[in-house]
Amino acid sequence: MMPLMAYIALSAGLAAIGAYGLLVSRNAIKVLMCIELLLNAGNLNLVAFSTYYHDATGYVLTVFSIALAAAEAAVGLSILIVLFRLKGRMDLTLLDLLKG
Amino acid sequence: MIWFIILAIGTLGSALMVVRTHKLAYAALWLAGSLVGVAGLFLTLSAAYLATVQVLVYAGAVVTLILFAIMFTHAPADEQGATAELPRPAALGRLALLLLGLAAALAAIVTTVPWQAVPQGQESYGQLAQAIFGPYLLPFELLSLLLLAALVGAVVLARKDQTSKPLKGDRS
Repeated sequence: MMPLMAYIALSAGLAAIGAYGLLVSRNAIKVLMCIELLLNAGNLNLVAFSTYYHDATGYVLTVFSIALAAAEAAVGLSILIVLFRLKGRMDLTLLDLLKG
Repeated sequence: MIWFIILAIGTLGSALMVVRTHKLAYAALWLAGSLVGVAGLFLTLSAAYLATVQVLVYAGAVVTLILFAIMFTHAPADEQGATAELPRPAALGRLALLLLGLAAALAAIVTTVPWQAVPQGQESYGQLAQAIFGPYLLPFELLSLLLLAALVGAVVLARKDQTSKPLKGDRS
């Protein structure tokens, strides 16, 4: 069995890739995918700690996190479809209605 | 051990391909690969139930939803490639600095804290069920309300625009 540090380092790498994609991409759907990567890094941490410290709390929080991610994907994608219907493109720089 | 290394390389490589590839549909498929890799890592942590839920909800439902959204809104391929990256190199330099600082902070934390070396236990379904329906019962029930609200909200948002008509009726 691997040490806990391996899982934490892997999760940090996954989160770094997700954060990089989140900051770099302008396509709205790709931003949503990178958010899913970040959420998965968090889930991996929760499950690893839960297994290594013998506590079911992390498993329960992971179940909640997966359900929240599903809700977030549904609402986010419907917002993006409305954006596409209004603007004809999926570019996040078009969302500047509230810019001062 | 060997499974962990294979799954780690697969997960990180697929995640990198999600960020790097220029075609949205390929990015969604690489995302599915990465999510299945995380499910495999859950299995190496002996969390079989969560691995099942991960494959069902993430690799099944969420990726299908993303693929549907891509198909509904498919833009020309050249435009997708053109809008994939930020254009300014100065902003990219600052971004790289920020990410390197973040990675250094994370590495410092990961290497200095004395983590537990040996796993203490494994997921048992009874333990998980007792936790969900014991101390976490109220959040669990609230979660069902949240899912219902998200479902209704998504349907209302994605419907053809009928929201302006009742407002006009109220005003007259």
